[in-house]
Amino acid sequence: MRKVFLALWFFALWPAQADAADGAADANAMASPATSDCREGTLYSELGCLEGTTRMVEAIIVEVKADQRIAYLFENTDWDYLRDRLVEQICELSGGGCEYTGLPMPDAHSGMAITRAEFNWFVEDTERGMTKAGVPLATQNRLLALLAKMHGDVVGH
Amino acid sequence: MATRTAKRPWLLTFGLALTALISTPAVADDGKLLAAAGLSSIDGAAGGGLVPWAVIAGYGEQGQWDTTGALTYVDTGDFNLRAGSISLGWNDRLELSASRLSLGLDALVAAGAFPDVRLDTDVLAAKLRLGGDLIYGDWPQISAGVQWRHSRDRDLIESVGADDSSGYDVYLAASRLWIAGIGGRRTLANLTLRSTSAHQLGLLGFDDDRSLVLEGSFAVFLTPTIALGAEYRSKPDELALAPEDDWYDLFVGWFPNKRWHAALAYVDLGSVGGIQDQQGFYLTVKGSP
Repeated sequence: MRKVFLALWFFALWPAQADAADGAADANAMASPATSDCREGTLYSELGCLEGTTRMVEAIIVEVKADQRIAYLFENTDWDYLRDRLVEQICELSGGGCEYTGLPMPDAHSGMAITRAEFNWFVEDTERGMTKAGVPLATQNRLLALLAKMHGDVVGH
Repeated sequence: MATRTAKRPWLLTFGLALTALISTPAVADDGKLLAAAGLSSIDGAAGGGLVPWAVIAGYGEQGQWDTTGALTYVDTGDFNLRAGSISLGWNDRLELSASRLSLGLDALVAAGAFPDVRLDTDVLAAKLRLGGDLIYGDWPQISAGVQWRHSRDRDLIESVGADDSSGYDVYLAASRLWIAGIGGRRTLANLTLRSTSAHQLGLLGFDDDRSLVLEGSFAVFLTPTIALGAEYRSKPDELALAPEDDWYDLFVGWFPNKRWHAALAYVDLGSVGGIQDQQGFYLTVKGSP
């Protein structure tokens, strides 16, 4: 039993996280979301490409707007601008070949002193929005794992 | 005074812990992600059922605190074990817990081999997050813990051959939760290294010699609220009258919200109190006010 367990544990050290950006590596020019690359096998296509990603981002924004715990962080937010940047960013991260044109993440959150709890509450809103937009669980998690890498760039600046 | 403190290492630990508590501002809240607080292990530490994890009890993130209470019942037919614990998690840094374990030796009592009393042990414990993170960043969360255990049945413990009626464990735990792990599901792995002198959690007393044991947990969240997992806890085997085996379990955890969690497990405790092949069920419920 000890060996079986250790084998499982070591297996877990190799997380099967697909590198979603692979598919876009050979895109010769970064595109805007309007001309994004909807190729099969990317996380972007799992998300439903431009149409699905936009619908999902809009559902996430509905959840964020309704979340009183973090509402004060968005008091001066231009929601249309935020939606467009999120779509770009998710398209870029998920292999859709877009280029994120917003501020670098540490700059975008500079002076906000976002806490770890607030980051997690945003993650919860994101999960609720994705679920309401009909994104399958494994797809949700693959996108969240990519967004989670920004934790250090968002929290505490 | 120095002698008094040396005799009671837990007093020093709790004193330091309380000092840390009042020097850090925090509010009661639930900033951790669902299931990131773990369940409450049988010894009271946040973790799986049998194994403490590196997570700090409750849903308090940095700048927050939370309290939890848990009840656990284990039954193998020949024995039953009841456990209750309360814990406080502070600033996602420090965990304090107190538990009572109570073992009913039903089969031995029925056979006239043991008096009709339950064996009770208290556990006072502290856990400190040293660094890393369960979910974010590059390193797994690493915590160190101490569990001071005291048997309330000194005479019976000594009659089965234990050296002492109290002792302490120290452990180091590393935990990681991958958001998109196996099959794109949240996947948790934990490894714990423990130094202990306890026979069967201290329910059968303590040895003069210490043993180094390895423990681990592995779980996959089939849905955001339901996890399937397995745990393994290796055990010392220092009591001639009552050989002790490694423990393992297979569990289903249910995390409907941040207030209530429950888990049902099949456990194999091996030989307990001289009776072999102790398998049964393990049920635990954890709640936060």
